Amino acid sequence: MSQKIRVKTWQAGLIVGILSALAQSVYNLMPKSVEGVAAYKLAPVAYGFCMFCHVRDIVNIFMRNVFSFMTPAPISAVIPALTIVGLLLGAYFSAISTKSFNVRKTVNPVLAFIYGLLVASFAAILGACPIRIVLRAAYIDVIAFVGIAAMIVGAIVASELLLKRAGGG
Amino acid sequence: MYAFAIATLIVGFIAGFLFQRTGQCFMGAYRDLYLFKDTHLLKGVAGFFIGALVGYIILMLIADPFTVINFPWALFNGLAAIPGSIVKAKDLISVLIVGIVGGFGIGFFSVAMGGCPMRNHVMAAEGNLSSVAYVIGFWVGIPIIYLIINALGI
Repeated sequence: MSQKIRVKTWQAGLIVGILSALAQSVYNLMPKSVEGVAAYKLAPVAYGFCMFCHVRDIVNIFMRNVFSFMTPAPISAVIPALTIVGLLLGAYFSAISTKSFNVRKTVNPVLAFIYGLLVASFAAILGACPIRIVLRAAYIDVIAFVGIAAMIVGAIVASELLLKRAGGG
Repeated sequence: MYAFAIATLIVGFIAGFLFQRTGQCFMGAYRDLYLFKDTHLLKGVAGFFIGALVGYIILMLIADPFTVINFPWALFNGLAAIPGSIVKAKDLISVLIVGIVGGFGIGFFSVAMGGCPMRNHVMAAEGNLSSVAYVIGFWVGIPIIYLIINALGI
């Protein structure tokens, strides 16, 4: 790995956290109202960074006629959030520049596909991904703290199962 | 009007770049704390929380036209959750069940997979084929769960 840019985890978290919060304010810059609703009310709060919501908004804006049953944030009728595209580009660029790009497999792809389906489903139920739940907690949403606590319990149960499987087999 | 798309693209790019360098995972943080008593990734989550809090407070102080509405949320809306869940019921019991079930499910299956959705998107960009399969499942799963929830009518 290239040692040119060394970032500590807390520094990276702090920078992205501030940027995610500030991204919220960009809604306010949209001049027009849409169908009588002021533009800044179109987006939910704490919406600067979400793996689930922004994927849904991108899916929605391209497939609106097919998936008319989806209820995205009203903002995505106007313009989608491109966080995910940026994330993939940024991670790819970083991986290339540190020469850590290599094709490999860690989990059985069929199993990984199913895990993806399940995590997306539970994220849809919670209305947040593990990142947005932290953003919501920073917005002082009590339910978000409940969600984080449940998430930690889920992580502990899964860890215990993994430990048991590793020990037993 | 394109400001939001461009802003989120830039935020996403910086996030992808930095989180690839640090190997940040928002679920691995809790897992490592429990399994190995390792707070390396947890510092990233704590930094993210503090950064977001600072960002929102800055926006609150700047006020119009950049202000954040209803911040802090609990002061204006009590125990109501910030909108986003696809479950339509909004009473306190439903919201609590949604928080517990959704949170538990994400935690369980993310640890089973070995990372949160963000980490898996980053690993997909690093060339991990398992994560590519995960990302496809993630994108395909969203319309499916909408169909199921709509059919159940909750």
